[in-house]
Amino acid sequence: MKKILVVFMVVAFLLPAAVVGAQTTVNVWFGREEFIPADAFETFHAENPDIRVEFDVIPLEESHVDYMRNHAVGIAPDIVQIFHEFTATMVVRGTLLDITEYIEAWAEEDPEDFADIYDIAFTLTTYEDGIYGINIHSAPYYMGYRKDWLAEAGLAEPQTWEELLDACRVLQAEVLTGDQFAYSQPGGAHHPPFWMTATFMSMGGQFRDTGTPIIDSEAGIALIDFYQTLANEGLQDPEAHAWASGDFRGAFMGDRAAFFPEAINIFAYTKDVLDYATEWEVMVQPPRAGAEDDFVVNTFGWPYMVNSDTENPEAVMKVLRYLFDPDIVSDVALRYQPANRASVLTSEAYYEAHPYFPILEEAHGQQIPYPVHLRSVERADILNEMKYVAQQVPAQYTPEEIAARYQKLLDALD
Amino acid sequence: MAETTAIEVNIKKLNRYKRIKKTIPYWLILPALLFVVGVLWYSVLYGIGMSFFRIDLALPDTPFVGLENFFNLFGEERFIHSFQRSLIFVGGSVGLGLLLSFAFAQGLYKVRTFAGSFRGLALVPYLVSGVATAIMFRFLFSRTVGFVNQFLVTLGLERIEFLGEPSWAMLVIILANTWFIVPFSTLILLGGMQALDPDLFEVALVEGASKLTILFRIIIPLIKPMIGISMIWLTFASFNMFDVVLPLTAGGPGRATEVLALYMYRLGFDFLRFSDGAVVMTVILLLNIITSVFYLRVFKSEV
Repeated sequence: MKKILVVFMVVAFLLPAAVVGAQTTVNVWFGREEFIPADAFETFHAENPDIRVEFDVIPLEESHVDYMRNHAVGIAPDIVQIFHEFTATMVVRGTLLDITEYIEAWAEEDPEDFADIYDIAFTLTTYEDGIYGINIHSAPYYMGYRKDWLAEAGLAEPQTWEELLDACRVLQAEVLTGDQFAYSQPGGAHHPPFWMTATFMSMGGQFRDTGTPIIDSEAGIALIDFYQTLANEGLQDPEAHAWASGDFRGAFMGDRAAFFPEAINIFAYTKDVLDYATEWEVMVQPPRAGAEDDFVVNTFGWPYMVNSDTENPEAVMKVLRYLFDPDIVSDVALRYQPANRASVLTSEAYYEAHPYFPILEEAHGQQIPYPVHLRSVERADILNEMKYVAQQVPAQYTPEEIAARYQKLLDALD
Repeated sequence: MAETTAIEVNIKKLNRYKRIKKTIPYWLILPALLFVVGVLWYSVLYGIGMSFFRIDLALPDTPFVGLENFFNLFGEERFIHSFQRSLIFVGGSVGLGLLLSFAFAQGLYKVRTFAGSFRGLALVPYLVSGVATAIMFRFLFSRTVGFVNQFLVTLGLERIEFLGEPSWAMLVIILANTWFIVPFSTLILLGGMQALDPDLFEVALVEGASKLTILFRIIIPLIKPMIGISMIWLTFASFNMFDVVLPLTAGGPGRATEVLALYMYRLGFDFLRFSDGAVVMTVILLLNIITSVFYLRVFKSEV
């Protein structure tokens, strides 16, 4: 009896250890809490009892740095969510795994599922012919505007940036009063210049192969001229150059701005504050007059990248495919950021959650990523300073002078 | 003979006991010392070591470069600008901070009813997080919805772009920083004042001394060491200040409020140039050491 008891106890102690030993753990760092699947991987664990997913939230603003630091000492997660612009730096440091073969295997194994996915899911995570992650969610900056105010001024939706500026002038002169301004946008100090580069790309702005924007071009000069005009003609709040994102979003939602360049996740909040289709409307950021052929729909992504040291790439791929599963990703898309899956974005539920999406749908399928750069933050820093200088009142330099000065600084990064 | 030996043995034991007793305080502070050395000094020394290598996450290697990082950074216009901004920021914060600390400490010293509660309340700003302080000041000084501008408008005055104009923005971060760091220096000064013998004031009053004379001839000379410690705190807290400035102005408008601590963060954690960040850390450390030694010498007790 004693022997049986001893054997039983030994088995009782060893069995859980054996089960745990057989389990593969996949660690994931999400960049925002909103990206975590609603079921917190419950279904995944039921379907894959041999894989345990452990996750944490490390803000996108710092995830790439924390990840690279942890990678250096061998404790980085298997999957990390980043701002896509850091891809180049992370690849050069040898911290990411080329998962091209796994993506190809996926395409072969389930072509129907693969066909549902937009190309941007993989083109955005590609660097020098290797695919280093999956861009499940990405979103361009569009434009929200006050439909009621434009109607009051007898204005139609602007078709070019020049028309938009004209509309701003009319609104400022005829409709807006007190603290109301025609255009609302963030300043440079608090954020990367995503809003500005989105505008640059829609104006037909080009980039060198290294990812350096060509500012001393027609598009670059038009961009600087645009900001100079907003500031010098009083079409934006005099303090806008010092605004954080909350300030400019608050200005639009608080009836203090007529236009604001934003993305779908912010439109989701806007419709809770202002009546969609009666008070406000959305549009794709327009092209520059005469540069319609150069127009592109910018996009910024928050891809999931794979650790170069991961011991279980197959398990990692299962987790990534789970995150991209239509049911799972649909939930995130409905409440937060759009997913790069046609079946999700064309569903009735998505149209209901984001009633403005039909207007943006075509553009959404044409996303061109903001190019990566080895020194993306320094690039952002220079562009922010350029924008600040452009918004000085009265203007101290011509757009050409500003473009030449900052092009030199940008080129020095290469 | 045997007795003598026994006494000698006892004396030896006593001496040994005394020696051991003398070492007890050192044993007691050893854990704290190990903790400080392990956590703080290790980081500081490692950081200084990093400044002699080129550690840039955009580059694959990390070669030893000696003092090259220092020379490169000292030649950068942005570093010099940031250094100048820091001097203005620290100068403003220490000047205003010391004045307010002294006034608050005097007030709290005089308060008798609910003295404990008032002293507790005076600490509140220090207990609020830097980020919350920054958000509060942002709301206070915003051009459109800020309380201060609303007040100015009510008085029929023009609005001021506190956060959009470089000089005003510097003033706002000095005010926010001062609000954050003054409570602790107030407590230091208050501690000094409470250690003074009240009879001194009574004698001085009997001798016909005015209140200003008491302040400048008795209180200030007697609490000089506390003033020095208070200034050390105000200075190093200001040189190191980061968590109020980042959410409040993020170094803007332009780079008008980009102080050294913020520039260090940018270099290390935004630009991923860790070794350059380490150089700025070393500069801040040296500034703190130099100013601390200076204050300790100037404010040495003469009593």
